[in-house]
Amino acid sequence: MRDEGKGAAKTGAQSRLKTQALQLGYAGRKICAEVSLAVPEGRFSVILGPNGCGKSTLLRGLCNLLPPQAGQVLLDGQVIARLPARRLAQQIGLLPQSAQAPSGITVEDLVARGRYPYQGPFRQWSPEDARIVAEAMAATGVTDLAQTEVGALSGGQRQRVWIALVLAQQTPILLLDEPTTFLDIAHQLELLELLQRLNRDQGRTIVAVLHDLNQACRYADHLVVMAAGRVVAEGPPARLMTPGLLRQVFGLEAVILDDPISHTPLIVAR
Amino acid sequence: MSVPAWITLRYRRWSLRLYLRGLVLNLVLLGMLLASGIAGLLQGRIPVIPADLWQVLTGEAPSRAIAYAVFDVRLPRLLVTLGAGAALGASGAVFQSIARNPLGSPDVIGFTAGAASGALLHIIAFGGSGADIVPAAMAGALMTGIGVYLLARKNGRVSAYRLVLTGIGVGAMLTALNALLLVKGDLDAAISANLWLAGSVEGRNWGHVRPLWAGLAVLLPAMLFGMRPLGLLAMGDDLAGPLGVAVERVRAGMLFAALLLVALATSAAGPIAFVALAAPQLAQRLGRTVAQPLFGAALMGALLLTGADLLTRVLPIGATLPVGQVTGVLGGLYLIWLLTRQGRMGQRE
Repeated sequence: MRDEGKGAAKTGAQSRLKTQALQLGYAGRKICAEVSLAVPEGRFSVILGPNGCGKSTLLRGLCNLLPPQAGQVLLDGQVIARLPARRLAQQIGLLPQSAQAPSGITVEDLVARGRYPYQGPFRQWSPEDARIVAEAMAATGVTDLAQTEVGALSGGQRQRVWIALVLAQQTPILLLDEPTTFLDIAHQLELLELLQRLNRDQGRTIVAVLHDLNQACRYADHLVVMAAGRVVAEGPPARLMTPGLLRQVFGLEAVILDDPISHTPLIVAR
Repeated sequence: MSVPAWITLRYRRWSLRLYLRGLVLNLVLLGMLLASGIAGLLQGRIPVIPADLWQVLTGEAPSRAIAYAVFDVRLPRLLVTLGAGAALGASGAVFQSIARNPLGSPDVIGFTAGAASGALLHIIAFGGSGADIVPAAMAGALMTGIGVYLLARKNGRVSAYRLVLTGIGVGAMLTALNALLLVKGDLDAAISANLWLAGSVEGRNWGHVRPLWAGLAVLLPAMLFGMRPLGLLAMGDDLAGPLGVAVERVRAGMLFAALLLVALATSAAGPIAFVALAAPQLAQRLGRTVAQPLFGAALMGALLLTGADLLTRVLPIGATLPVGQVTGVLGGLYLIWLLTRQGRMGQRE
């Protein structure tokens, strides 16, 4: 069942971000173990798995928000735990599930906070900062909302503003933890289209945790399937999705059809 | 709409970005501080007119009585009031940002009570008095602060929620300890301890001014560097960390600096209520800033305390009303007014 990195190799993608026998957890509790992963460069990867399997924990480990209990995470061959926080923040961005907008903040000011890794006490705002914040708002379609308070936005708009913040961080690698949660179906698809555009037009490497299997199959180039803290399978959706895998990982009896629109696997539960 | 929210000062590679409304508020507060400071120097039993004041400050006093009144009595009192107010306001801004809650201010989460415990132990248990209350109060506040921080730590990080709850618990215990000390101590010591507990700037001398202002001169600029990363922490550790903020180092460093400010202010002026709670809230609302402004809160705290001190001297209640009682009333009224106003504005949306 294990298909280590072959998907990446087949598509010719290199990998800048790798983990080696990574073990993650909190205060003696082990959540992820033996994770050896190579994130394919320039691809849209999606991490799938049942609740509590360690998807979010893995994402937090990939950007050193959670230091490893054992093993390591490497960026361009260097251990990320030893990289200066700002340099790492210029390479890897994370949109967590739990982000809170301070009350009263405007969209533009929130997005501007993504420039922090490039600023200093006496370099608070460069013309480049202004340009990149404007670009990030344009790419996510929130330019017209620039002076609106974030608290007054709808869920879909707010999520696009958060994405604009991590875009303004200008990291080649972007990690997103369940970016579609709490959005209605139309806004979910809109957001995934946006991520796909960012991946294809700007060449950013994207790793997202998603729950919807069919959305993952439609938008991802590369799937990473986790169960009980371990990576059990990875590869391109068309090759990876089998009734056997779904039964093993999700306990789901399903047939796999061809999606008539995108010609990716379409999973239908029995 | 034509007035920009931010102005950027640029010189070569360096730039400062300033929030226009906050800047204007700070200038207004500075002007009001100057006015209330002059009023504080003029007001008192020995009449002093503005011309005399100028002469005293340039070293040519019209009489020795006036020189004494201004330079040895009123100026140190004014400087202690200004310094203590600024220290409480700034520390309140930091504590409230970290706690993400106005209830996170040092007088609510037990640090002021801790300073009082230090002072009371010193006065009652060891028979100390006067100027050496300062190190005792400092020690009390610091030990309380470090204790609360360590108790609130879990998995190597301190959540806002745990900090407030632990602080309130520790504060309640220390308040009980303080009451016990007052009951157990002998009458004279208890009376002098009670005077200190009321929070007063009466009879302060240059010995009180120097440590307070030295501390402010070092701590305030240092804390200004920490305010930007602290603002990012308000969006959650999970967002701030990957943006390059050393989350726990920033939080612990800022807590420690703010704690030192509370300790300095309390040892100089006694436990003064409400300034640390109200000043950052007032500065934030009047300036409509997103984060709690450090300098705005410091200026607002200084103004609240000098204003309260002036009131105690002008009101016909008698000269001995301690400033700590007035700030309680003043700050409380202001906050209630602002909260009700905010509530009504909220309903309209």
